[in-house]
Amino acid sequence: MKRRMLAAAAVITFLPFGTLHASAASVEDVYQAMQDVGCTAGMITDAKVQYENTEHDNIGMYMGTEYHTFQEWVQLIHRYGITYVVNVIAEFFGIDSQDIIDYYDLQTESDNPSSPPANSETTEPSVTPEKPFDQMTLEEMRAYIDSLPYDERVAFIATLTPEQRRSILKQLPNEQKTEIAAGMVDFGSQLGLSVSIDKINADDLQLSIRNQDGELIDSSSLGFTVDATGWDTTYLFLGSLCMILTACSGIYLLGKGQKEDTNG
Amino acid sequence: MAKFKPKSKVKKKKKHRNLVYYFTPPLVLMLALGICIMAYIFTPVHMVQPFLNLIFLDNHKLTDVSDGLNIIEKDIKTDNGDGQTFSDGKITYPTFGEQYAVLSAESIQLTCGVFYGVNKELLERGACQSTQSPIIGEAGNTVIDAHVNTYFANLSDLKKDDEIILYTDYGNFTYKVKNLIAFDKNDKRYLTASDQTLLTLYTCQPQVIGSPNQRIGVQCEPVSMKFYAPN
Repeated sequence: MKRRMLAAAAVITFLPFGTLHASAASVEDVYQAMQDVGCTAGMITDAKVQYENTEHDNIGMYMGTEYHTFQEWVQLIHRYGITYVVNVIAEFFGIDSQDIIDYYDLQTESDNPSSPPANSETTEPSVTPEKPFDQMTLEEMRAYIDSLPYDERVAFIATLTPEQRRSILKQLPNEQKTEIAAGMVDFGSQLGLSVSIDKINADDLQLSIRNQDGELIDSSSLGFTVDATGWDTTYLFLGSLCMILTACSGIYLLGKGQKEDTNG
Repeated sequence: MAKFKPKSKVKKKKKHRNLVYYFTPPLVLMLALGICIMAYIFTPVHMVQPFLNLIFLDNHKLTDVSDGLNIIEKDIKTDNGDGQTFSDGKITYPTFGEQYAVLSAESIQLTCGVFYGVNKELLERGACQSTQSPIIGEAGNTVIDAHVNTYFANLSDLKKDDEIILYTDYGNFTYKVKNLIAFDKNDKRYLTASDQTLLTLYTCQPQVIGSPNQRIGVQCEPVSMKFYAPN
């Protein structure tokens, strides 16, 4: 319930800017917004394909069957980002979601109004991490965030890079992952996409995304994955080795017996 | 005087003949099968595939295609053409499952299709480009992988400065090998986004026993980017 209220707050936060700057955003802003909130690259590519292949004008485009101005798409995407991604992460790290909203509010008043700040250029944390944040374990992330003063924590969480965000999402407990996946399903439907969850476990969240024609447009996990590009041939190798050895031994024994028979 | 053979010995000999009669065919069959499986393990499967197709009258099926996966295999020209080219140009974005490029590495006699997206069905058909990485021709680190048992069986033979060409419908892109890389399956440093334009190719370290944990590959830098149409 709290989250829904925050979503509404987020809409209210961005709505005035959308009205005032209806033609300020471009299609590139839409792609950037999708990237900011952690949409899979396949979703972004699909948006590009849709933009190229369907009718569009200078201020808006179709995604699925819906037409919106670029600015409206950006708002819709950020609303999803704030509701389902940033808030879940903030709550997990013990930060009040309202502080994140306030932070965005402050930034949008003083900065570029069309989007939440994408990177921490203005909010360099006072504590330097020992290794890149996106390569930390969840415990290390928590320890690092806890080491920052509260204001910096808020700024840090609000300005995570897409890769940092994906790294957190991947490692979150299943409960939070499910919450985010449910958001992705809901958000996908607004873009005319059908999102299904293939796998949720301790290390991963794998999604399949289909367009309105049912065609698979992406099948990926959150963040970069090293693909399995080799087959485990252990059983095949051991099996075939046993077969060869058994056959050779059998043939040898039969041959030996035959020879003994011939000799008398 | 004729040599007398005890009855038990004659019986034993007859029994042994029966053993030879019954056991030789299955043992020879087992040996042949064992050798075939070994050959299958050690031979790049895509080289065996045409023979398997012939033996099974072209009915050798690949893995069933996932629901909704639209695999598009295209005939992409692999000549440089005589037309005008541009250093910056228009990219045609592929859809998931579309073969949108041909990868050629002459030094290791490798030519294979490149599909957009990675899953097991696509990996059976060619090399695959991660959807998390930029499209060929875009700035950034384009990551392509393939099975070591099939298309990237000889990837480890690539040497520094070897040339790799990616042909697409919208241009051809030449790279040269800059680094030979090896990394663990949990190590993503070579796959992450980069400000530099790079091409990263990787596959599993060949391994007969156990699940392969190590990956090997190459990082390449662009030599020429030729687009067929301007932006």
